[in-house]
Amino acid sequence: MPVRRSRRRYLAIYIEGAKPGGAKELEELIFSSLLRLFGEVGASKASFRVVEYDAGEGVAVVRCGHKHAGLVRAALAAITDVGGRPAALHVLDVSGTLRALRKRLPSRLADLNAYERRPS
Amino acid sequence: MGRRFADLHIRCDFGPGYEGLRELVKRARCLGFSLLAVPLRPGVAREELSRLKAMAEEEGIDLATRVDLAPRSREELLSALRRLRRRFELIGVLCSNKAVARVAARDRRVDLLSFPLELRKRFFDEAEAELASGSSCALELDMMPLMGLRSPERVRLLGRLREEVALAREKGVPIIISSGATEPILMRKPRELAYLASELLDLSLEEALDALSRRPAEMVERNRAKLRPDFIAPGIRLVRRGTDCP
Repeated sequence: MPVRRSRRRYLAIYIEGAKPGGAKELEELIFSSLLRLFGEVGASKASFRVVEYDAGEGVAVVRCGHKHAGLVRAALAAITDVGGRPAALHVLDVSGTLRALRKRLPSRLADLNAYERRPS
Repeated sequence: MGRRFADLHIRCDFGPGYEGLRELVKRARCLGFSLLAVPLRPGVAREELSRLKAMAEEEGIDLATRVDLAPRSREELLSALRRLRRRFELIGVLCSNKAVARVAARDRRVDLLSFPLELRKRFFDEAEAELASGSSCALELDMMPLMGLRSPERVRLLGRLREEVALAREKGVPIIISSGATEPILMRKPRELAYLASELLDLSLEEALDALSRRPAEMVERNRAKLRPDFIAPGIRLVRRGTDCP
């Protein structure tokens, strides 16, 4: 009998302040936060991946298991710096499918206040 | 209707005339908060308080006036409460010794109990929770300062905080989650703070969301009612003045 694929959550995040140079760096940043807060067991439960990352805009889409999305959201909130420079990761939107998230993302980005996108 | 989120403890430095407060209020609005409290100087003039509230209202934020006390003795705490209770909507007490912690938990004029990050200075034990449940004060937990701690220290503190949360739940002491942000970039969206509190402190997500919305709103509303001129005692208010009363 085929095993049903576990449900996923896709999170669109906006990075304020210092930004990681690439998707790999972002993945390491989030993964180390997960590991620090929840250990290896917690990090493995989260089944987390960076799906796409635009370093210029500071917008990324990450994927995680739907039952443990809370772990990833907590780990994102706990990040306060990137390479020693202050940073904050804000969740813009959450969706069960990548297609729905991509559809909504432009309007979420438009909603981002000018202040939030260009912090002083 | 959706939740109205509150951050009752933003500890940024706003400058002598609170010049930086407007930017912070705008930021809080962007992040999804509608009620905010920042600790003000105890000597701030009433006109200044009104000006700050009006400024926040222009930006769509309800600003609650708050003062933080860090008394070293029972007498110092009681004297500050006598002077300041009628001037501020919220009074937070940082309890750095047991005597202060016990008096603060028992006194109905105290709204928020907070404790230093050092383990040996956290006095929220069973007796403290019992006293706090009899008065109206809440246990305030700042989330972002925890993120600045190093690993072994943070691990021990998180364990202690989970015990405090369980005690507060058992004794019916309200829990308030705040950011405790010292820089604007340390502010987080309310739901992110809720997830952080829920995962780290063994709160259910619903409890964490309440600690960021319903609980603080109720506290501010209750205190505002007490500060109104028609307030006499809980449940009793002056309806009409007159000379024809029997």
